[in-house]
Order: sequence, then structure tokens, then C-alpha cells
Amino acid sequence: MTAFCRNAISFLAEYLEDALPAEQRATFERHLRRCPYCRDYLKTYQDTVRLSQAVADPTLDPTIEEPPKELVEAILDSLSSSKTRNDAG
Amino acid sequence: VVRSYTNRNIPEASALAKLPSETADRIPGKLDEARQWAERLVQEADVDTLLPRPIGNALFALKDLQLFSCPFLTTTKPLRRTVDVLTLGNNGTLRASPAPVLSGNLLYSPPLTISRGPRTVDTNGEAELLIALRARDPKAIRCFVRAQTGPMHAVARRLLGTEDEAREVVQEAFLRAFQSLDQFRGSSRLGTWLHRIVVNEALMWLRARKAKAGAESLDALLPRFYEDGHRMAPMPAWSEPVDVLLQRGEVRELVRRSIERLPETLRVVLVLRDIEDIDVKETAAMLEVNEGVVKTRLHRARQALRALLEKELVV
Repeated sequence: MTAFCRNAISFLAEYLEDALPAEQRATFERHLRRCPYCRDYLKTYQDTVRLSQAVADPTLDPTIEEPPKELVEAILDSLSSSKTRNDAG
Repeated sequence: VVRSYTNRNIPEASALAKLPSETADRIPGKLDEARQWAERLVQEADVDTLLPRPIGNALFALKDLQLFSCPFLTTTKPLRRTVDVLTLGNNGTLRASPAPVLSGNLLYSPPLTISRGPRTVDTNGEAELLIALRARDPKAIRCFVRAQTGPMHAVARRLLGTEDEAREVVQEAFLRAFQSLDQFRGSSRLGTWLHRIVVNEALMWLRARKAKAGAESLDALLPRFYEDGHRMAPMPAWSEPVDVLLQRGEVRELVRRSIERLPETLRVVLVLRDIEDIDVKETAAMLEVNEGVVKTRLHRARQALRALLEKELVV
């Protein structure tokens, strides 16, 4: 663990988006090679992004995008009454 | 054109040998699974009302449809140009026949209705669907609403966190979408366009309401350092690989609950960027902040979420 860890962590998002200037990227990667704590942190940070995406992935859970039947009917009703109003207006 | 794919027995892969090879090798041949899926599809997608005559166990009309993630066919490309309608016979046969020729533009079915896989871009059927929606064709409207309500409801739930509000937002968004359908220029998919309307509607809702109580304090969730830059506490790796973790329903539920515990300004950015996959520029515009703010909030949100998960995922 080094004094650079705080800086390293502040660079993570930009590092992952490949948005760091070359020199800063090289410094960051040098630090990563030396610091297992930051390597673990980087890995779990990336994993966190993947886990966030997983909660919305219908291939992992097809039920998350199942429409509530009452909602479908309510939308169809409201569209139908909106059309009726427009036709009348 | 009717190809020679009629009366093929699904469980026997060899019977499907004449199907394009890239399809045939993805067919596990589970008849029961196929039948259950077909029944569910007919029920959910209302397929037989889209076709000119009842086709009983119709699986799907393939013309202009996406076909993915069905248990025995997982690709869109090979079949779409060769077979128009597949039906599953009572004796377990798969039959292909030409697409019904309709006088209008009624052979459509939004892909999301039958989707269990990643959404892919297909604009082939959209023009026809758009024409029908603009003409307020009841079947098109029903089909579109049935296909899109689930995904849109899921988006609104993620942003708002409450079921009642999510439902109101989705309903309002559909009304808004149909009111402005004539302004839709077709530069994106209809589903993407509706998605943005739902997101904006949800954000308006969030601005109008007070922040939900119960969110975690941000300071407690960010890594802490001594003044000299050294970490106050270790930040260990998780106990299992992420590929294993994300397969587990209870872990996904934990992640979902943890996202809801984030302070609202962070949660919204995390949902828009990492889950809804909206880019920095558009997220910034939606939230009326600059791009730097989006990046900072996203980074903090990920760190905070990571800290919440760490309590559960580190042995």
C-alpha cells in the first residue's frame, strides 16, 4: 500500500475508459504492478459495473421485463381514450 | 418461398439439416421446452391475432421479425430470408410455410415481445410498424404496447425505485410518445425513442419529489485515506469470480437493493450510464449538468456501490 493509492483510485474511471493521458496512464499502470491492493480494487470496481448491468439483463432473469398485465391494459385504455378525445376534438 | 423444411421433428437435429448450418448447430432440440415457449409466446405476443387465420401453435412469423433467444433457435439471420412462418404441430413437428400476405402492413411483431436475449438493431420491420402506429391501427398499438411495456416498466422501476410511480411514469410516457409520434424522425429505433421518453419522464418525476429517505451517507461509502494518501482500511477482492456471482439470483437482488440505497444523485447517474447505457453527453443533457459532473458522480456511485457490495461479497 503506498501513498499513491488515493490518486490511483481517483483515476480508475478514466483509466477504464482509456481517457487518461499517456504519461498518467503509464504511471498508473506502474503503480498497479506494484500495488496488489489497488489491483484488487480495480478488479472489484470493474466487477461492480458488470454486476450493475446484470440486474437489468433479461438473459439472466427473463422475468424482469415481463410487463404487469394491468399496466398494459391501463396504457391501452388511456391511449384509446386519448384517441377518442382527439377524434371528438 | 416455401422451403423444404416442413414436418421436421424438432428433437432430431438431423431433421433440421437443411436449415442453414449456423442455425442448426444452435438447436438443442428440446421439444417440451419449445412447446412451452410457443404456448407462452402465443399467449403473450398474441401472435394468432397478427396472422390472417388462426395457426394454432404458431411459433412466430419470421418476416420482418427478430428471432432470438427462442430455446431452439437463437439467431436472427439465417432463417429470416428463407422461412416466413414456423408452426409447431401437435405431433411435435416443425412446419414452415410462407408468410401470410396481408393487404396492409399487419405482419409485424416488435422483437421485444419474444426477446429473451440482448436487443439487437433491426430496422426492417420498424417502418411498417411506424406507419401502422401513426394510422392508430389498434393491432399495431396493442402489439407495440405489449412489447414495450415490460422493458419500459423495468427502466422506470430502476430510476424511481417504487412500483406505483414507475407505472404512472410509463403510462404517461406512452401517452406522450403517441402524441408526438408524428415528430419521430426514425433516427433511432422506436424502442430507443420510447426509452428516452420514459427516462425523461422519470427524471422529471424525480425532480418534483423529495429525495427518498433511507439513502446511505456517501462519506461512509467512499474509500478513506490518511492525509499522507495511505488507505485506512484494506479493500479486498471478492470471494468468487464475477461471472459466478452474476449468475446467482440472490446476488443480483443484493445489487438491486444496494443500488436503491445509493444517494439519489449518484444512483440516477449509475442507472443512466452503467445500466441504461446512455452516453456521458446525453446523460449530462438529461440531468442538466456538465459532463464532468456526470463522470464524477458515476465514479463515486460505483465506489459507493462497491463498498455496499463488499460487505456481502467478501468472505
